[in-house]
Amino acid sequence: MIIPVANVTGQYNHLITRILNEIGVKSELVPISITKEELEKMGADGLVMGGGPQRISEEWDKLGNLPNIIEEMKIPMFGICLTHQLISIVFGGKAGQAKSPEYGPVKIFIDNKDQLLEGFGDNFTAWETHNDEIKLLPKDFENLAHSEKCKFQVIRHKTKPIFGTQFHPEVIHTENGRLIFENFVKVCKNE
Amino acid sequence: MRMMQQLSGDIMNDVKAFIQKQCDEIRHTVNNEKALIAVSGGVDSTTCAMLTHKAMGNNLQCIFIDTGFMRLNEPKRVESFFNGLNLPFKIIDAQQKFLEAIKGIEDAEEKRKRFRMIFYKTLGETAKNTGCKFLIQGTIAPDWIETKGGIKTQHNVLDQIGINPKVQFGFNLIEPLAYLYKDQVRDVARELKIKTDFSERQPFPGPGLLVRVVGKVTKEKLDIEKRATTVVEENFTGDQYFAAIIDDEVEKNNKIPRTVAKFFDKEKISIDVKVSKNNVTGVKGDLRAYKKLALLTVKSDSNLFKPPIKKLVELQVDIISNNHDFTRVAYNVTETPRNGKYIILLRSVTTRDFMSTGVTEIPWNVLIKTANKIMEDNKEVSAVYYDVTPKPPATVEYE
Repeated sequence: MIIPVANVTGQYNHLITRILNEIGVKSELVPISITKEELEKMGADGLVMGGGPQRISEEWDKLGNLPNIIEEMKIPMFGICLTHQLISIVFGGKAGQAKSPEYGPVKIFIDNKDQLLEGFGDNFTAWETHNDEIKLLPKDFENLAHSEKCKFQVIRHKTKPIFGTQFHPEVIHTENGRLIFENFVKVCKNE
Repeated sequence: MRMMQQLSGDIMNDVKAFIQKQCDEIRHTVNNEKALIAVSGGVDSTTCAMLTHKAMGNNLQCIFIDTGFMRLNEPKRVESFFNGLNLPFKIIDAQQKFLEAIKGIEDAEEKRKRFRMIFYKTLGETAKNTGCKFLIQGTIAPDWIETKGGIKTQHNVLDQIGINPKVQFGFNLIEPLAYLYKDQVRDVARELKIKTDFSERQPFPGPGLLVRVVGKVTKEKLDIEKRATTVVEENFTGDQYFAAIIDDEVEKNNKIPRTVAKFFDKEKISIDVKVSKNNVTGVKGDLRAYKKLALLTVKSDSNLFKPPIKKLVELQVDIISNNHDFTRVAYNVTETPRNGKYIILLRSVTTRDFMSTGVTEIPWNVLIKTANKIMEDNKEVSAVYYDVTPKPPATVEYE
């Protein structure tokens, strides 16, 4: 199983490869300039996209080829924080400055367990660090979880295996964060 | 050069193989030339020295640069530890050089950059004098991630940000641990049979107490910081715990008390929020946030109100979320009416890998005992606060 991580230059991008390695997946950081052909050539079974310091509304040019990849590729994809917002924009939603940014521990309330949140209870504490947020969810997507200050914490495409989380499941302080990656790996294995 | 690029996860499965592979690569790279390693007595550089010594024996020279920003008695402790290991070890006293270089400088990044310059100049001279062509460093993943991301300048990160150590300082760099996190380094340390009082000791930043003496550094401020650190180390628990010192130059804030009042929703409490003149380092949405520190005092019937630490962390989330200029919140543990020059901040964090940290729930009686002891020992201190900010939005260290 090979799942590369798009390096969007956030603090935790490298940490995602560590977690995937620990759950038995081959993973490495790849640049955001990576193409569909290159991902196919390396035999990627899925793609995780990390977070980054770019502001979603003003810094499109700093997200490389990711918008094209999200739109065109058929493999399962999982965007975290900034790339969670990016996914919504690619499919026709909106994202911008959050009214109440969240940093550190935030309680997440689950509305729909779905594949990514399988095995979770009704709520859990997750670690956040975001200045922007999704403002409008694309019509092909559904929202799976929210927090008190942020409506779209976990999203998925209604028919395609494309997911996003606003919080960071890769940091050790997010309760059961690893389970989210295990669930995503299951999706990639088509289990 | 960095080694073993993608195997950070694999080492959990096979630490022995990791050590073997790194030793082979080090031998191959240095090819019987001499190498220098800068050790601080911390987990990373000690582990790195042991690993490299295993690979190249006494062609490795260990150097301890006494920057003057070490904890009390630390140079002696490190010397006797390395002598016990039979590793070639030398102390270089550079205290004056460092103190002069950062004299009068207030900005955190400028302090770190000047520290880095003196640090490598000293190493470069030593490498030249001892005929060493290589410098071995115990850089680990969070070091280059934070420096490259512009969060803060770690003193040991060079080639990852485009500084060529060969051209600028005269040596080639080898970083065998560059893709590991702290807990993985400890796995390597255990496998190398490093004594547990060193392998399990809490991390200590490369620039040492420099980054805990917030703002301008003076000898008096540094000495108080050293004494306060000793008291914290004797009383606290956590994955990392220490004291920091700021100037008692504060102004009143009138907006934050409204958030605090709403949060506690309690009658008969008085709320006072002061803002430190010294900025402190944080990280918000993957961006460096060198911003304000809120010092919070809540009294109930004229006694300090002592809610569970967990509650204070929740309150902190509300405060930072609604006040974009702030990156940290600390809560009053003890104060005196006397006019002191400084305020001490106590910090203790919980973590695995230092990429994210929580706030340790130190019992109130321990907080008060520690704070009182610091106040007794240092008449120039007017108050002691406990930092209740996780990472993010704060970083572990203050600068």
